[in-house]
Amino acid sequence: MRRWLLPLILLAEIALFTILSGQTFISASDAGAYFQSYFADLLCQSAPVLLLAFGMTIVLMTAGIDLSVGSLVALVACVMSSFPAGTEFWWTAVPLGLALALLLGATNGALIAWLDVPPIIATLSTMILYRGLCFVVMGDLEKSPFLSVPAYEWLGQISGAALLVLLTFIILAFWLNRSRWLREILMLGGNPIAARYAGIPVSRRILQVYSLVGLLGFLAALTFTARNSSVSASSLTGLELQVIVAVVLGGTRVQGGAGSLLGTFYGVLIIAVMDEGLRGAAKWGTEHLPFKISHLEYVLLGLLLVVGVWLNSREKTRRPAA
Amino acid sequence: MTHGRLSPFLRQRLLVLLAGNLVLLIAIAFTMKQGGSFTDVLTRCGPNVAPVILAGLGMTGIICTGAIDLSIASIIVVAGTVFGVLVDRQWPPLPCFAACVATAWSLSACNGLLIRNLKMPAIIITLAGLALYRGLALILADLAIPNFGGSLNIQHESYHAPGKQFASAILLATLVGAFVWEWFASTPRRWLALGSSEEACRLAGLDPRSIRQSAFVVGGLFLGIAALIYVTQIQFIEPARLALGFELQVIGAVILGGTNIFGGEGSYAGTALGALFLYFTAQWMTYAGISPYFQEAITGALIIGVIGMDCALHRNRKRLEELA
Amino acid sequence: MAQSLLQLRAVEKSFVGTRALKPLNLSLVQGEVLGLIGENGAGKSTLIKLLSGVHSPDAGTIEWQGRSVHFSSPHDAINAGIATIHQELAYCGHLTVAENLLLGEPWPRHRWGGVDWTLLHARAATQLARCHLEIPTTRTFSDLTAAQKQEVAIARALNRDARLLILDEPTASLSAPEVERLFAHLNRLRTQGVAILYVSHRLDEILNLTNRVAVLRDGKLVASYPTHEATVSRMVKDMVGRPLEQVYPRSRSYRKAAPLLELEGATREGMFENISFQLHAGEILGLAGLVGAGRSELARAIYGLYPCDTGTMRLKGNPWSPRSPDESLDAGMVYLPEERKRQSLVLDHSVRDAISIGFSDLFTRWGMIRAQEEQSAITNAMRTYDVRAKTVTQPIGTLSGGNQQKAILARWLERKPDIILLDEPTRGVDVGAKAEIHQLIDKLAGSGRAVLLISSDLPEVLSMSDRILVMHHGSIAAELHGDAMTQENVMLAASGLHHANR
Repeated sequence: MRRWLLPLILLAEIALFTILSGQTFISASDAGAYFQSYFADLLCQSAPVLLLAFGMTIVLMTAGIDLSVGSLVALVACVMSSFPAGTEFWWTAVPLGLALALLLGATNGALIAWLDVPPIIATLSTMILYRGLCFVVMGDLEKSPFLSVPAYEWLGQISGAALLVLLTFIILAFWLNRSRWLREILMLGGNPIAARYAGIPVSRRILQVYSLVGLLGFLAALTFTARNSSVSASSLTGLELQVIVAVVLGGTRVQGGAGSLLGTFYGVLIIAVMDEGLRGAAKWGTEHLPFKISHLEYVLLGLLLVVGVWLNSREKTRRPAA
Repeated sequence: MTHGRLSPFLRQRLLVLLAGNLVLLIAIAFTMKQGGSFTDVLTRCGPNVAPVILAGLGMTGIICTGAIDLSIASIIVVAGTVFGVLVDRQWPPLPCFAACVATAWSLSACNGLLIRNLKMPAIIITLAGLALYRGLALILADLAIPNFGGSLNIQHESYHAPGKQFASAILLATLVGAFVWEWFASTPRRWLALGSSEEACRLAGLDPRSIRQSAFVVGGLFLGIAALIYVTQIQFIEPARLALGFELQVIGAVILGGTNIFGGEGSYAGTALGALFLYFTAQWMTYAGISPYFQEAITGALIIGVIGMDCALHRNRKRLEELA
Repeated sequence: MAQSLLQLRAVEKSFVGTRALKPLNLSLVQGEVLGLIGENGAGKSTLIKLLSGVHSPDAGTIEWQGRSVHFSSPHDAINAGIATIHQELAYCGHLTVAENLLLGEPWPRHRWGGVDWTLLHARAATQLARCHLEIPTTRTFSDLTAAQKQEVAIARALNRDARLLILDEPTASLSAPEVERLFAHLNRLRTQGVAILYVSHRLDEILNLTNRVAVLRDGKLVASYPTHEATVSRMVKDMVGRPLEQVYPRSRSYRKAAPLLELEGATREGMFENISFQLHAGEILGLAGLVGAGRSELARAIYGLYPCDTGTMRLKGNPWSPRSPDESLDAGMVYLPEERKRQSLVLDHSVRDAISIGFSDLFTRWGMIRAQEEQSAITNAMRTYDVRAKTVTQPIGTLSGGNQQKAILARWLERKPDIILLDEPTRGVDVGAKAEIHQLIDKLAGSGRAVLLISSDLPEVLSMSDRILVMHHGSIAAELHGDAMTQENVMLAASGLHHANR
């Protein structure tokens, strides 16, 4: 992806929707305050998607895919919600949720690495399985113990959620960029056979990648439950596609071997701004458009995806020497 | 005489599924409570599995070429919306049905055309289609119906004929047609050839892009029929919620039926048996009194079991072939 | 004077990073068999791909039967009457033999439109029978042996009723009787007026079969003469273009040292059996044999990609049974696989990443690579092994074959390994790079490393090795020392006809 393209789209979007929402500023400090709370909200709102998208980016780098993320987060949240609220929630439900998330992620990894099930099939099946387990745990109930847990709501606020997201981003983007681990991931995604010849422990790495998605899924579950306060067995259905669209829009290619966490960051924000902005522009829409403006979201999303990836592939078309 | 067209792997998978379906049917017959009739199970089976099987037939061809179509649920939504809007305009049933099928068909062909001309992976194009088509359906409904409230109401019974009275007949006729075509046409074999090796096709003088597109065109026809049955079964067509997750259900059936997700191998019969297997499993669980909350989990575990075992058995051979 | 069939005028072709063909003129007349020879990377495959419509020339014209033509796809070339057997077989593994054989043709149909499978298989069977092959047409293609696949590919091309038949290394995986059968067929076609362009590394085949020889070197046609004027030494001289000593340097003399790698009865079902040998420090041990004789399979087992069934291995005196290649790397052994693109590289990764993946674990602390040390190691490696790239961020796929190969060597040799397994180290590499790689191998052995050199390039094995093991059908057919190391002895042993010296 051209480096300037995504930030440009993001800026254009923010400008457009600020105008459409009918917001007016009387002074620079007024505008400053508006945008500060705007970004804070944006970051909190999209924290779960962002966290999962970071994991998905690394999964796509290995030429894999993880369709089970939505079910995984839902299951972790469901299991955690079955614990009584109170201070003890912090040392019963939370560690257990973490362990469960890692286990679910590692299950995906084990199916792919050890049993050699193609990623899309393995995670499609676990998507169904994990969602089914949600129903086993919850039935028809909707539980909301989270906000009764002391200090839990902090995770859904700007200080908590944004901190978590930014910290994760910094660790992944900066630490991984200089690690050998990520280079090995990229090589095994680009050419798994060559990776095996180069002595890279392919199975172990794949297991680690999907476990990492589990870990990020746990963090996503925390931020999600802290913000939405309640959870049911059908929470977060369809999240996986939202995440994948954001990652692909960010310039990570599905064939593996390349990817960018910064691009993913932009990709998620572009979708979140659009989502939020179309809602804000509802008034303008009913006055000027013959249809509900929020229905445009799907169309714009689809078009963005095609155009973004097309620009990306056009730039990278080269022919290897024969 | 199969002329070697069914690989040992596929033959084995078909037998396993056939046996599994029989076992499930027998189990259903035995666990049925008093009052339920076994013939009821069979007659109800047709309308219930028809959309999955029919969409699965189309998906089978597409996956055989090494592509995939994630947008089928959204295509069904557009077809359903077109259908609903026309019913709202009080068109007679037949043109409504035709418009529904034609919409789905042309959108699928459009997917094929985009993949061909933009030279992008099918998974990306159809992922975009998944969002785009549903949005188009919503906007279409908004534009066509003043004060659109989110759902289209199909009241008159004559508009439900294909989904309710004739679903089994349509399914059977399409299946027979598909089998005959698979058996005697060269195109399905070309799809498999393309899925096996695009390079070999190109060197043999075939045009890989036209072959792939033909899979989308034929798949679109099956999808059109599937969409017709799907949308004529329900009374309220809600574009925002209709058929959510349907594509994954279909892909699950196709893969369970032995079609190789990377292309090159697959059969219509496998897909049909795979879809039936999933359906009968759910039925059996209902009759056996298994809590509905457990059913999805058991289905998931079952798919993992069948496919995981299969992959694990081929694992060593595949690894060695890769290295050489 | 026979009619001119094909005429190339100033044809050129470049790929990113390399000029594969410089302006080239070539002509072929009816019934002529032209032997095209040249070293790996000389441009033979590119020329063939131009003629078969896989690539289009950048400049120049192809005249076919007197008319200038432009092939935009393989389809056009096939329709014009040019059939090609490519070096790397492309086939549809899941389909049957009959379907693969008739893939590009319209299939026979019943009167009512359906494909007539019985007739299709009958037709395929006739085609196979014409080439004296007995392979069931209903078999799944991927179940065939390598030789059978090759023969089906040949049968497909032979049955196209082509005016020009192009064969690129068709005998690589065939045994002697199969080769004879092929030659009989080709001779029959020649008498029918079909022109043949025959590409092979086996010079004896060129001398046997062809009327004329054309030699390519570095993308240029350097010589062309009737076969009766050709001799092996003349052809080699034209191909190599420089005195042999420069390409095959030898600066050291081997003195017996401690064994670093010892194999005792190593066996893996279906790959190799009862392999015993010792590899000593400072020694270059050549491993010769035909393709498919089990040489690479053996090397992969030593490297730890899969275990042996029985037998023992010892590395530096300790028992050696690696579970994965990372153990081998830690123990000081590296393996350079034979297929660069498939087994070594991610083509769009940068030169820097492609090189440093081999040794950056030596510069990591808590998983982090110490950037400066890594950078200096890369710079150093690129200088030492003479990897020529414009920048280190350039994709490795844009380098020429020789530079790619040197980059892979840099990747592994920068680890300072003691045991080096080289599998076809100069395949697809131009002459200059080839000489450099040979010098490097020579120096490595000179500094006390043990080198196992697997190569199908006979002059290379003969001149580089201190000792040669010849494999045939998975076992060692001969061990050759000193004066016994001749082309004839290696070829005899490789074909399973040699029993002396054992």
